[in-house]
Amino acid sequence: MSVVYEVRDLTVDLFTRNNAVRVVDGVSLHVKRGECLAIVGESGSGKTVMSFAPFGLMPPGVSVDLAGEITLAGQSITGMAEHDLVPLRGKDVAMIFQDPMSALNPARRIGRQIAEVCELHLGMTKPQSQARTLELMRLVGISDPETRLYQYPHELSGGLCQRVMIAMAVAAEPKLLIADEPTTALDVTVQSQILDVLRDLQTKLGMAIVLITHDIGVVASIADRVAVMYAGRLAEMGPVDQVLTWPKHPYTQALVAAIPRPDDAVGSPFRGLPGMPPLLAGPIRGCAFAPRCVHAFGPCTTQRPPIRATDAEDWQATCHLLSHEVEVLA
Amino acid sequence: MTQPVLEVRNLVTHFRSVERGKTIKAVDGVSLTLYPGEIVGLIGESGCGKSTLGRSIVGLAKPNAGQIILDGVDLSTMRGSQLRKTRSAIQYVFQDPYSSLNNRQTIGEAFAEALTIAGLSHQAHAARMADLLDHVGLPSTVTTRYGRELSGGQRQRVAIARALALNPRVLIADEPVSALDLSVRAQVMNLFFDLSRDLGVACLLVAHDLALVRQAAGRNYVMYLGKIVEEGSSAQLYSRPAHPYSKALLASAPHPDPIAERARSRVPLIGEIPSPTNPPSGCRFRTRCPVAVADCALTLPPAVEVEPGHRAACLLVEA
Amino acid sequence: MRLAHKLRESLAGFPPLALWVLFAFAVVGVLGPYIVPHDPLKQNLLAAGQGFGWDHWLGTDHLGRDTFSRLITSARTSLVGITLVMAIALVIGLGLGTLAGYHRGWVDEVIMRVTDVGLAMPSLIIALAMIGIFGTGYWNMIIALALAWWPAFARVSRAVATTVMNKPHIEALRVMGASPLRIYFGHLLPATTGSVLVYATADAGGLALSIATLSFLGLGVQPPTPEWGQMLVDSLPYLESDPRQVILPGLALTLVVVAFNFLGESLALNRVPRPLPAKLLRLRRDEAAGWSALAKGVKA
Repeated sequence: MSVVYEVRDLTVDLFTRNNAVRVVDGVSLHVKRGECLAIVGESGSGKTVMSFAPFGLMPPGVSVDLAGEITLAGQSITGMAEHDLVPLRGKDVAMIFQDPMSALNPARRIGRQIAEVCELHLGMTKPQSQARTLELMRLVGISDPETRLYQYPHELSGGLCQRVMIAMAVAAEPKLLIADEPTTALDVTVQSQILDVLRDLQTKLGMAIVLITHDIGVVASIADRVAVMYAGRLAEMGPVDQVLTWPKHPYTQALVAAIPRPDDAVGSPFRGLPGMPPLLAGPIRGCAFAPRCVHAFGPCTTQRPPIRATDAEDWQATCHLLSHEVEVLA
Repeated sequence: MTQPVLEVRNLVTHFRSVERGKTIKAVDGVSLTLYPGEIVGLIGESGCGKSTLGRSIVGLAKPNAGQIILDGVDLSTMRGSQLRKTRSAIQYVFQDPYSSLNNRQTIGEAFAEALTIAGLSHQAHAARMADLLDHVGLPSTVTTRYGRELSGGQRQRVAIARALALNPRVLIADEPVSALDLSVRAQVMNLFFDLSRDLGVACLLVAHDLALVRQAAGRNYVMYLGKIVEEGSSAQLYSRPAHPYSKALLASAPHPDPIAERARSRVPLIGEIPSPTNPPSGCRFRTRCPVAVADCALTLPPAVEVEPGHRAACLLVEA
Repeated sequence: MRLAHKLRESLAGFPPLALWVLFAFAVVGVLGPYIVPHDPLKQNLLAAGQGFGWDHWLGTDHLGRDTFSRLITSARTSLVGITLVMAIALVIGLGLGTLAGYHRGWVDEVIMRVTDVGLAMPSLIIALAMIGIFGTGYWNMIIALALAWWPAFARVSRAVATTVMNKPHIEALRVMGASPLRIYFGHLLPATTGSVLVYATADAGGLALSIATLSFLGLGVQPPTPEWGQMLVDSLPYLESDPRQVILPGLALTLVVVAFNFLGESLALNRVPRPLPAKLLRLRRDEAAGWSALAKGVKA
C-alpha cells in the first residue's frame, strides 16, 4: 500500500501576545491508502493543530511556525504558500468538522452547496454536477435525495448535515480525508450510522482517513492504526488491536484503563489519572508525562525519551521503560 | 422502603417554538422518584427532554403541569422567597464548568455568596468553606484564585462543592463530565459516590454516555421524546433491556475493545429522533421501531412491570 | 508602575493618535479654567479681530476675546455636557434595559416597544422637539439630549443583559435560591455596565456633535459661555474676511469627533484577532528557538 500522507519530525509553534507555545513537538506519522489512522489525545494535546496546520488551516490572526517535512501524495508541501495550498484543499485533501450545522452555509440549499464543490474541483457543468450531487447523496446514505436537494441546512438534523458535509468532502474523491471529531456532536444511535458511512466510503474510494477524536469507542470501531498524543508529543502509535489491548506507554495504559467497561461492577469507583497535563508555554525537559506517571524514574525527568519500536511491526512508543538499558517494570 | 426525597408526578414542560403557533413538547408527562442516597441515571439522546426535565425540577424551566414533591411537600403550593428557600435543597451541576462560575469572582467570593444565601453568618464562612473544599478534594488555597485559572476538572469540583453549601438533599447533574477529558472524569464521577454515601444526597445523573451511567447509577430511567420509556436497575436495564429503544441505544454504543467492537452485532436504528413539536401518535418510538405493529400508532403504551422494579412502556412487552 | 503597565496593556491596539487627542481633550476640559492665559469672557474691542500673535496666540474674535482661551473653555463645556448627558442617559437606559433583560415577558415587551419608538426617530429630532416644548437653555438641552440618547443604551443593555441572564453562573445562583435583588445588583448590573460603557464611549462623538449643533442653532449653550458650535455661529459673518475665527473651533470639534469615532471603530474591530506585530513575533520565535537548543543540549 502506498503512503498518502506523511509528516516527519513536525513541530508547530504557536505565538500569542503573551507567550510562545509548542503545540506539536517532533511528531512523525504517515497514513496509507485505504487506511484509517486515529489520532487520540485530550484537549490541548495538539491533535487538531497537528492535523490542520500543515494545510494552512489556522484561525485568523494566529501566528504559527512549522518545522519538519510534510508530504501529500508524493508531493512535498512543506512551507508551501497559501495560494498553492488552496487548490489542494478539497481536491487532494478534504476535511469534515465536529459541528456540521455551522460548517454549512445556512442561506443556501444543500444540493447547490454540494454541486458547487463538484463544479469547482471537477470542472463540471451545472447538469453534470446535479447528477453527481444525487450520486454523492446516495453514496452517503441520504434517503430521498431528490427532495433533500432543495432543503436548507436548518431543515435537516445534525446527522443529515454531517452526511451532507461528508458528501461535499468526498465529491472530488480526495486522497486524504481529515475528520475532526466527526461524531462528537451526534447521538450514539446517529454516531454509529455516520461511522458506517465513513467505513463504507473508505472501502469504496480507497481514501486514507485521519480521524481526530477523544472517544476510544470510535477508534475501536473504525480505525486501523492509532496515534496517541500527549502534550504535543507522540506517546504511542500502532495497530488499534494491539495498542488498545496491550498498551505499552503508561499514558495509553492509563487512558485505556479510564474507560468505563461493561464488566465493571455497578457502583465501583471510576479509574482516572491524577494531576494535569503540563503547560506547553515553556521547554519540557524529559518526558512530558513523567509528573503523572506511576512508573517514572531517573531519566524520565531529565532526558527526552526516544521513539522505540516494540516487538510488533509498525508499533512504537516513546517511553524510557522500553529502552534496552532499562529493565521493564510493568 | 424509606420515604422518597423527591417525587415528580406527571410533569409537563412545553415551550413556544420559534415557528409560530407550534409548541415544543420537551417534557410530556414524566413521573420519577428519588430515594435518599441513591444515584439515578436519566438517559436519552439529545432532544429527548432529559435536560429540560432536570431544569424544570430546579425551576430553571417553567413546568406547565404536574407536581414536584420534595420531602413530602408539593413545591407548586409555594411562592416567592419561601419557594426559593425550599427549592434550594435541590441543587444543579451544569455541563459546562467554564461558565458556571462568574469570571469576576474568586472562588472564595463565589463560596461566600453561596454561604450567605444559605444563611450562614460571616464568622462561620471560613470553616465551612474549608470543609466543603475538603469534601471535593481541593486545597483551600484555591479560594484566592479565579475560576478561569483552574482546569475543567477542578472547576467542576468547585461547582459541586459550592452546590453543597446549600445542604442539598438532591443533586441534579446535567452531563457533568461530558466537557471533561477522559482521564479527569473519574475525579468528578467518584465524587458522586462519596456524596451519596457520606451525605445521603440523592443524585440524578442526566447523561447520554451509557457506560458511564451504568457504572455510576443504581437505578435508571430511559427517556425518548418527552416520555419515560423504561425504568430499571442497572443490572436489569443493561443486561435485559425490555423496550426496543433501550435495546437499540445499548446496541449502538461502540465498545472500547476493538476485538469486541468488531464482533458486536450492529442493529442500526433507522433515521433520527422526530421533532418534539409534532411527536408521533401512540408510541413515540414507533416511527423508528424495528418491531412496531399497527396498534402502536393508536394507543399510548402504559408502563408494564417486567420484573420487580423494571418497567417498560411498550405494547409488545409482556408483564 | 503596575497600574501604568496595565493601562498600557488595555490601551494597546487602539489608534494612538485618537487616544492622544481624547487625552488632551479630557485634560484641557478638566483643567480649563486654571490654564487659560486670558479670561475667555473679557471683551477688548481695541484688540478685536487680531490674527496669530504673541499676546493672543490664536488671535481674538470680533469682540476682542482671546480665541485660545475660548477654545479651551469650550472643551470644558463640551466635556461637561457629554458627561452629564451620558450619565443621565446611561442611568435610564441601563436601568430599563437590564430590567427588561431580567424580567423578560410583558415587562420586556412594554419597555422595548417604548424604546423602539425612541429609536425610530433621529436623536436630534427628539432633542429639537423637547427644546421646542421646554424652551432653550443649557439644562433643557442636557435633558433633551439625554431623553434622545437613552433608547440606544436601553437596547444595548437589554441585549447584553439577556445573554448574561442565560449564562450558567446566573442560573446557578437562581438554583441556589439567591434573591432577585442579589442577582440583579450583584451580578447582572455589573456585568452589563462594562459592555454598555464601552458602547457609550464609542457613541460620545455623535453626542459632542449634537451639543455643538444645538448650540450653533442657538438652542443649546447660550452666549456668552464659550462653546465650539456657538463660536462657529458667532464668527460666521467674518467667514470671508477672517476665516481663522471659523476654522479654529471647527477644527477643534472635528478633531474630538473624529477621535471618538476612530476609538469606537477600533473597539468594534478589536474583537477580530489581528496578527502579532513583527517585533513581538520575533521575540516569541527566539523564545521557542531557545527551547530547541535546550533540548539538543540535554540530549548531548
